[in-house]
Amino acid sequence: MLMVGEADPTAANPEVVRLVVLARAGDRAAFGRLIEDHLAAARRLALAAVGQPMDADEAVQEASVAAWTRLDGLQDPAAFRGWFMRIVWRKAIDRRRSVRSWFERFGVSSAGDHPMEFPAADPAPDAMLMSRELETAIGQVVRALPKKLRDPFLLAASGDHRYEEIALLLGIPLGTVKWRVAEARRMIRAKLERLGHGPQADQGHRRHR
Amino acid sequence: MTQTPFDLDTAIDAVAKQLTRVEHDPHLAARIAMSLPERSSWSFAWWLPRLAMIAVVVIGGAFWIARDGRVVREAAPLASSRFHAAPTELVASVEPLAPSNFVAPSNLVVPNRTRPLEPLEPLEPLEPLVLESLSDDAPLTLAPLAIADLPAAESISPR
Repeated sequence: MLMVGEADPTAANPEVVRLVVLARAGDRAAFGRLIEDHLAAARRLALAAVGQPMDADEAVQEASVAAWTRLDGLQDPAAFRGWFMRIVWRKAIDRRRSVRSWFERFGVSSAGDHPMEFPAADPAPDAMLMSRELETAIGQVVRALPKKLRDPFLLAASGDHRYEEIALLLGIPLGTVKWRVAEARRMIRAKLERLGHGPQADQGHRRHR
Repeated sequence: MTQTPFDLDTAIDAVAKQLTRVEHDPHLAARIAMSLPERSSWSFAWWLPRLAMIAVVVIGGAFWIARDGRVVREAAPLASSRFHAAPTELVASVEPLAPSNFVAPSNLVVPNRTRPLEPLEPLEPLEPLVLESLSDDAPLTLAPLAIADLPAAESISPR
C-alpha cells in the first residue's frame, strides 16, 4: 500500500510559527528558511501536476513569490505548510494548463487529457526487484491515467501528503480522494494485466531473473 | 537476487513514488530568495486588484449613465426633425426678394379696370301683402278630397 506520511507534517511547529512571524515583519532570511524547509515537498507536489522538473521548479518559484507577497493574509502561522502547498498546487495547475494551451495553439496535441511526460529516472531501490520491462509499463500506464485519477494517486504516492491534505488541495471530499486512489490502482492493474504483467507474469519475471 | 517477494501493488507504488522524485538542487532556494520582490507595508498587492475592480465598476457605471443621457438627447432632435423638416426646408428654399426687384410674371392677365361700371337693371316691384284677406274666425278646415274608386284586381291585365 501507499506510504502517505508516517509523521504528521501538519502538526504545529513552533519554529515554523516563529519564522512566519519574522517573515511577516519583512525578514527575508526567515522566509528563505521556511521555503527551504518545505522545498522538497513543494517540488514533488508540483512535479505530480506538471510532470517536468523544470516546470515544477518554476511553479514552486512563482508560488514562493506569491506566498511572500500574501503572507499577511495567512491567518494562522501554524497553518503555513498547507497554505503554501495550496499555492504551489494552484501555480502548478496553472502552468499545466498553459503548457497544454501552448501545445494546442501550435497544433502539437489537442488531446484534452493527454499523458504527462515524466522524465526517465534512475530506478528506485524497490524497482531493482522488478524487471525493467514491468517498470516501464507501469510508468506508461500511470502517465496515461486521467488527470482526476492521476493527481490524487501521485500525491498519495509521493508520501508527503495525507488523504485529508490531498482533499484540501484538490477541493474534493475525503471519500472521493480515497475512491480515486483506489480506482487509479485498479485501472493500473487492469491495464498491466492486459499487457501481460499480471500476477502470473510477475512470478514468471521473478523466475526469469 | 530476486528472492525477495513482491507483488504488483508494491511495484506500482515504487514506480509512482519514482515519478515524483526530485533531485536535490542546492541553488533553488537561493534563486527563490533572490527573486522575492519588496513587500510594501500597506499590502498594495492586496489592494491593487480590488481597487482595479472598483474602478472598472465606477467607469462602467459612468459610461452606462452617459449612454442613457445620449439616447435622450438624440431622441429629441430625431422626433422634432421628423415633423419640422418640411417647413424648415420650405423656408430655406424661399429666396428673399427686395420689393424693388419684383418682376411680374409674363403670363399674368391683368384685368382692365379703366371702363366705367355698367348700370344695373331696375327690379320689378312686388305686390303689397294684404293682411285683411284672412278672416279671424274662419275655420281651419279643408274640403274632403274625392278619390275615384280604385280598379278591381280582376280588371287589371296580368301583363
